[in-house]
Amino acid sequence: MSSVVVFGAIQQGFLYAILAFGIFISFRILNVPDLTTEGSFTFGLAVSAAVTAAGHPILGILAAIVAGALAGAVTGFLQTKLMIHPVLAGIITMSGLYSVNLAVLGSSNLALTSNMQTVFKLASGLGLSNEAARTGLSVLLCCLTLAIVIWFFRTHVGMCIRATGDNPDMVRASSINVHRMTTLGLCLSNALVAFSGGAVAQYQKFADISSGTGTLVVGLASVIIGEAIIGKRSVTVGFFSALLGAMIYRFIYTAAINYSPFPAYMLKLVSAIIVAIALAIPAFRHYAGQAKIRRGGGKNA
Amino acid sequence: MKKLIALCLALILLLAVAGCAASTGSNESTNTGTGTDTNTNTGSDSGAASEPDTGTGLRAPVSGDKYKFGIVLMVENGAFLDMKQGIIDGLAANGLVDGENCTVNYQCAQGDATNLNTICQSMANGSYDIVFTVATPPTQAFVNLESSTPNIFCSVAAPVAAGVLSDMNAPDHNATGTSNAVPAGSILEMGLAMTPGIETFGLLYCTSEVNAVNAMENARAYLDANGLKYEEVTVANSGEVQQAAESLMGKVDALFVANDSVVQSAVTLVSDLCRENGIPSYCCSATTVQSGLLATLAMSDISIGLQTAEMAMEYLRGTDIAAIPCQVVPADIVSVNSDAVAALGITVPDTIAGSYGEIQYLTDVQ
Repeated sequence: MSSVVVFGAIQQGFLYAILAFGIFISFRILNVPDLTTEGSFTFGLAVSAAVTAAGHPILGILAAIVAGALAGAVTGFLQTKLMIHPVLAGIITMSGLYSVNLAVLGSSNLALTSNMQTVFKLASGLGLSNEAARTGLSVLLCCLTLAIVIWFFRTHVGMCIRATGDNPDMVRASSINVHRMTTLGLCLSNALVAFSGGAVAQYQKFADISSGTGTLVVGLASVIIGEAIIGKRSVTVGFFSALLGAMIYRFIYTAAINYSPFPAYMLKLVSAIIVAIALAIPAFRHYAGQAKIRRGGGKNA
Repeated sequence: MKKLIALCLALILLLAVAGCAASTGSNESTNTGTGTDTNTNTGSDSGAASEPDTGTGLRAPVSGDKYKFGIVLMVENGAFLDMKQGIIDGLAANGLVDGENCTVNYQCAQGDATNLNTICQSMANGSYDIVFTVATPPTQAFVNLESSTPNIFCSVAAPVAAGVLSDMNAPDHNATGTSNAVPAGSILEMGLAMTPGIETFGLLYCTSEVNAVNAMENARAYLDANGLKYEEVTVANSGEVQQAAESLMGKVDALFVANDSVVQSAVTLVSDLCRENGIPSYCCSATTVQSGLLATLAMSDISIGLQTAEMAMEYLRGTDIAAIPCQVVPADIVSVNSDAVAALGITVPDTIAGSYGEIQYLTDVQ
């Protein structure tokens, strides 16, 4: 693998890991299937690109985070106050966001031309090479996010959100507002998803209305691959496993693209098979354990 | 702890496998290259050998002794695949045949935008002579890598707005190529010439189809400027197309449909309605004409690909990318559905070919 490919995979792995954190919050902590993702990812991408094009890259990232939180709030409102099924609430927000994203972008595609500042360029202005700046900033953004979410889910509010996902009845009995906690969780989840989108927009230097397609699958696969390898444990370990899953997923795709002996149209099948193998690791481990017991049993008999 | 070690081992293994694959890959290409090189040189292209025998000597390949081209697509659809085929055919017409004296590595993100950067990075490793990108997102993804590998793009509607070059005549990001825009105004003008007496156009489109929305904007601008009236009706999915088209019948003298995949999937219904009501229908692609609408003015997707390949040849013959201006491909083929002509009982005026370009007659594809 050439260095640009390896570094590219690492950079994208860290950027999409932030997306995986968002998915982990809705899917695992809140225990709610949230389909807002593709909409809020593109929303973050669009807002970040629009604000960056106006000359404010850092503000662009912050605006993307706020935009994502707003999208999450809408889904939360639909789910809790209007009692719409969570899956449908997500779909409604996602499809509504399509028009919003077109409005934000102004057309279907917005380019960040080479004379515009991006956060990655600001980083390389500190005396780093382009590649080092991209890698360093991706790692920094991801680790910073990781630290913040781990801290947050240990605070009182974070604990309440976790409890809401585990047992809403119990939480209600403790006089905690379940609706508020669910909405807050969705805000946080989609804020991270949009953060990832906002960073990707400045990373790839363009935003397209189609840039969000496939992100839900990427996020879910990252979370699940991470769990398959590390196992389901605490929330803190969960975030780390989402990061690991995102890296592995990106390397799987990179390998499939670079070294697949099959024609291009096989890409999805090849990567699906590799992902299936990664997900089957716990099963293999289970069978290996059983075989060991059987062998051990024979010895002791 | 054990798991952590296992994990590290797994990652190392993955990287090792990847590394092996990379080295075997390059060996393979050099071996086969030396094997076939002598047989396949056809004189018009001198391939790797830098013998300027006929004065058409080409650049030496950047690695190995065969050219290596990449083609990147965002998604497989009829138009993009035709453009890709056009590029491959165009290279072959110049003596560069995939698998013989050059390698064409085709990759498609299969609709998954997250793969696009990964694909482009895999082609920016310096082993490619040219990377072709079809349509806007792959082109942006590749150009933004600031790779030393030249990029020749195909069918980017607005290259300057897309940030892939600052000036159509002076490419400055190591990328040039072909651009095409849907000439909505010219199509309507041709419609007026083909079936005179139209006072009101019906515009049928889906609001979430960006291309269609843009084409309709241009169409409205043309109609307003020429004092013509129009009736608009929009749909959100293909199930609504029939009702929407029916609502226009009796109110309009002609119908205009853009490159709109939602309307396209129900366009045979529209075509039947138009024929029953004696209304001429115009559209933006030859594919839609084959589905039954009357006529369009367009450039065929294969031809755009061919022209893109010609620009690549210009580069290979020694011209720098910066000295190859980006070309706007003119719409010069009038596609007419002869079944629709018969059903409407009209005759295509002889002046059409002179003013708009060669006429190709198509029939309904069942």
